[in-house]
Amino acid sequence: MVLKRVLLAVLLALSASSCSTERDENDFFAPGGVGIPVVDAMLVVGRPFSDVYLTRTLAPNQSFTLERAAIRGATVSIRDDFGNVIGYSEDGDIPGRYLSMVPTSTRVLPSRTYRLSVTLDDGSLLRATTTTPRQIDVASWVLLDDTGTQVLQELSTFADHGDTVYAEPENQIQYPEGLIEVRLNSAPATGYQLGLASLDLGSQLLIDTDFLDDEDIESFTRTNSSPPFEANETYFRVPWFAVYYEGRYKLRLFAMDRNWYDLARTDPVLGGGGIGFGGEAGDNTTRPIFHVEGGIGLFGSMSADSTGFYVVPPPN
Amino acid sequence: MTAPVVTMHRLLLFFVFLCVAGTAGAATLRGVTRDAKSSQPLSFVFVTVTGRAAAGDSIRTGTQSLADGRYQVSRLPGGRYLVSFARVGYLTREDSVIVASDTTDVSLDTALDLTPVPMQEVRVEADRFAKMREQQTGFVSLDAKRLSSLPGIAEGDPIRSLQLVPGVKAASDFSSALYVRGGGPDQTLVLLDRTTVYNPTHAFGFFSTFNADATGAVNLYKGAYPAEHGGRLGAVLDVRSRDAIARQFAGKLGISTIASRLALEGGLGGGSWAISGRRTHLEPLLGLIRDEDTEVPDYFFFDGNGKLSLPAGAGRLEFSLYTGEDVLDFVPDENTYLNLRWGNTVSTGSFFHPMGSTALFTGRLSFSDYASNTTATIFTTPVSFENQIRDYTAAAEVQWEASLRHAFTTGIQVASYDVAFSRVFNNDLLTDYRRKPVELASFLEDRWTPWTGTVINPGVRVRYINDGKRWLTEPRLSMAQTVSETVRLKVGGGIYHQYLQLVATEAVSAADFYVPIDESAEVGRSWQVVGGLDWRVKPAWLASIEGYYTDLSNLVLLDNTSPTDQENVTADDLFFLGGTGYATGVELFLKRDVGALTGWFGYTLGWTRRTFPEVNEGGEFPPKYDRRHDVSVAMEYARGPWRFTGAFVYATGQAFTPVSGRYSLRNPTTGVIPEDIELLYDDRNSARLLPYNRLDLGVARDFSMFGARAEWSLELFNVYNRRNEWFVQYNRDEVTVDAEVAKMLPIIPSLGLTVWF
Repeated sequence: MVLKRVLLAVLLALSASSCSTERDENDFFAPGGVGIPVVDAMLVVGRPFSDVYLTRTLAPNQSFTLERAAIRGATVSIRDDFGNVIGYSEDGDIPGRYLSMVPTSTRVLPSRTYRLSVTLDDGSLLRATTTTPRQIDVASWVLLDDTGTQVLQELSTFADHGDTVYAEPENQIQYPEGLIEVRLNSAPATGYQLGLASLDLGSQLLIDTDFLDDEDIESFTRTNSSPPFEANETYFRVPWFAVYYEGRYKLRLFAMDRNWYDLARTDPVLGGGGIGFGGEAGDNTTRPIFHVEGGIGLFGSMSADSTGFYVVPPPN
Repeated sequence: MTAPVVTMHRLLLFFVFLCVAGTAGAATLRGVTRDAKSSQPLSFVFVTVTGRAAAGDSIRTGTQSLADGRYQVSRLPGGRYLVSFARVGYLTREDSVIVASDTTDVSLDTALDLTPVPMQEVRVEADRFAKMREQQTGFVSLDAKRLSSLPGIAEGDPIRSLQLVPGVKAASDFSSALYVRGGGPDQTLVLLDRTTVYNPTHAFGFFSTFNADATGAVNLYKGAYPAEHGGRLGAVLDVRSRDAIARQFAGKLGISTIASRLALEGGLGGGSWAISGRRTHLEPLLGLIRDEDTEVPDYFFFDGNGKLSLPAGAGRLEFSLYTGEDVLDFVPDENTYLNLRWGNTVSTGSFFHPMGSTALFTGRLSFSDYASNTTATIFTTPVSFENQIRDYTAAAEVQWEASLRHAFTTGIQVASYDVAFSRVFNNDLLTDYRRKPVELASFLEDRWTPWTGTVINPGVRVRYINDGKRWLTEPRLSMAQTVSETVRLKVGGGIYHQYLQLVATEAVSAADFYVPIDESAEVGRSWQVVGGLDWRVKPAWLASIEGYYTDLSNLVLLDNTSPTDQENVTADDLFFLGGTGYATGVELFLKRDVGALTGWFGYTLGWTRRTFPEVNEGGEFPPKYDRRHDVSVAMEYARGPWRFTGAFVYATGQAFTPVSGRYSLRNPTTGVIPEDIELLYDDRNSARLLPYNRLDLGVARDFSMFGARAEWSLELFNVYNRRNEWFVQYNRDEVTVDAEVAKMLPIIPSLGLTVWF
């Protein structure tokens, strides 16, 4: 009798196998995230006031185009602490783009607070504030030995040689020897980020790809950026895994304002989001920090410096 | 002014007289209870002494054997007594004993036989009152052999099997971690022979470090645990290594689909020894998968246990040791490789000695070490992570039978921790953290029996932590009231604190690390209340219902958005602070523990919530493992040489955070919109995966192999191959957002062979 009950229980459990685990993809999306205003604006110290993009969030199953997402007819202005106002007008050619109406001789100043104000055509407001960092103060760009203790080469800069810096002997670096390092005289900014761009399209791939498949190789990009750093030690090193190709590279160092730093460290696309440790699988979904009132996005500021070098393939 | 002094003197003399009268001519009955077949000590055996003293008084008293089988009944006046030994699943045994008036110690060891199988009826002759005298709420005590016999994946794992107990959940098929009554694995203290095991997992969390061959009793306090334990907000898992009592050499060899095991034991100078070990043997299987196009890492784990028990005068010395390590090597290329090593070493030395006829002293020295070491090179860029925690503890404890109504236990413990972790990237030391806090703890509890049928257990634990100069006071209270011969009520509660915070990662347990909560944050705190009822429905059936509520404060949650090169590693830097939460629910448990068919049915209805000011915009959210309904059924049917086992689990789907929109932002470093899509997430964990359900079946048969006893076994994990949902992954690299569900394990068969010699 007992055994019959056991068998019955087993059969009942087996009947549950008729419940499929396949689902409609829409089951994994929630409503309520469509139509939220998005600000995209970045001020660069020492440069003219750059354009402002205004768009709206779309549904997850929609492809992104400016035509579809753009916010039109908004009133945009930036005001500084001294009462100066930089007005913006809508770009007739590119939807969602707003261009500064001040002369290009008007530059973004360091250590200055700028307030963005956007009024949408339905009367709703977007507000954001940035305090620009000081001009970045690079002491030198160097190549160290593998231990990081001895300087092998000091790289020239664009200020020294202009665009011919890539051909300078001291800017020739053999892959993957030594450590490329940027040294600062001081590091007062909230955070820093490195950007590395391979300029020679079609140049030879340097890494050994025997264990990678075609999909992995296609995912390599010619531009990379580091996660945000606090810069406790006033230097940054470029890891060789960011270098895939032979040829010319432009290395840029950015000093970040608070808005950009907070977004970059919390947004997995821009470099943050953590390394996935500490938690349940699939549960690392912290919403980025936007610092935008009335919407999401980024109104940030930076100062930057750069140099160029040429990566030479290793001898065969 | 002399009158009060005289009164005080009289009171003092009266008190002394009482104590003396209580001890005059009183003996202590002590001994060890064992399983007659395996000779293993039996815990929680109800020992009842009834009879008549020489002076004519009727005596009725009793106790319960401890985790190592020892029991002690003090203050027995001379006379003739009947001693009854009873424990569910075993035939009750009665022995007569005569205590001479000039005797101070009477020794009586006993061995209990399992209820014979099959049985047409169960005759339980023990006093049911005695059987149900256990007063601890939320307490589960299971034999490791029983837990390991439940079907699973290749290796019988007593801890994975605990996930079938009501109130205990699993995060996934890939994890042996315990989620107890709404708390995560970081809130459960795991002990081996009273010493903390800091990362009790192998194979990235798939298996626990507890080898079934080396494990004796598995005791789980699901909440409201007593004052002898502390340091975690939720639960305590108290595992005891198997005691070897055999005086002659014996062994056991086992082999399964993934690992081989060997266990040996024997006698030594009046004592005993036992050693066991196991190692995976996946290398041939991995080698078959590996080819020119498919890189597969090399992986194995091993562990070993040892226990030595020796008489020491009137007492006993015990030494136990565990050591184990996981090793993973992945070398796809000379410029790209990954090497992981992580493991534990746990050692405990204990000394037991009676103090007179009414007290027992226990001294203990222990050492626990967990270390994890990751080194990698990614296209020539070196990366390394190391983390380690060491725990040196000295403890002393006294159990004193002060009177027939009061039994005190008190103890003191000093623990020195050494916590370290470091990260090196591209030959640059990013983080170098080390902290060496010291903790002092003392506790006192009383098992008070004011009248027959009522047991009250008040206690308090006081802790001092030099990191932040913190004093923590943790009162505890439990009470049990026998309502009738078959019904008993229990309540319990207490306040708990947690100083060492575990940061655990599901399915990557090698990455787990500990962080002491320093002065930059408050130590985690909980208070718990539990109440329930046990009902012996029939001789073979036990039913229980228990409700619980846990309030949590000062919770922490790892802040994964901390910058890569963050130098300061205080709690404030690493965690989101100031979390609060609660967990509440009801558990139903129906257990059949005698007969050919044994097992249990469990159902849990529960809610868990968390709130952090900086997470989910301060809104309340359920953790991923919050599950409304949880059903578990475990069965074993034994007939002759055959043994059939089954387990079924059903649970509400786990929570996940759905995507609600997409947007685009230019990358400030390039001025270009990245190819990866920016996702806008909805409220944290506001959606649910599909309900989880799974059926496991197993069959085993005894046979003779070259004259030795042997057993083969076949187990099927996930019999109907339901691909349960694990988590949702959103792919950002397509034109539109693509949701993909990672699934849990499919049907997995496993074979095993065990030989005893």
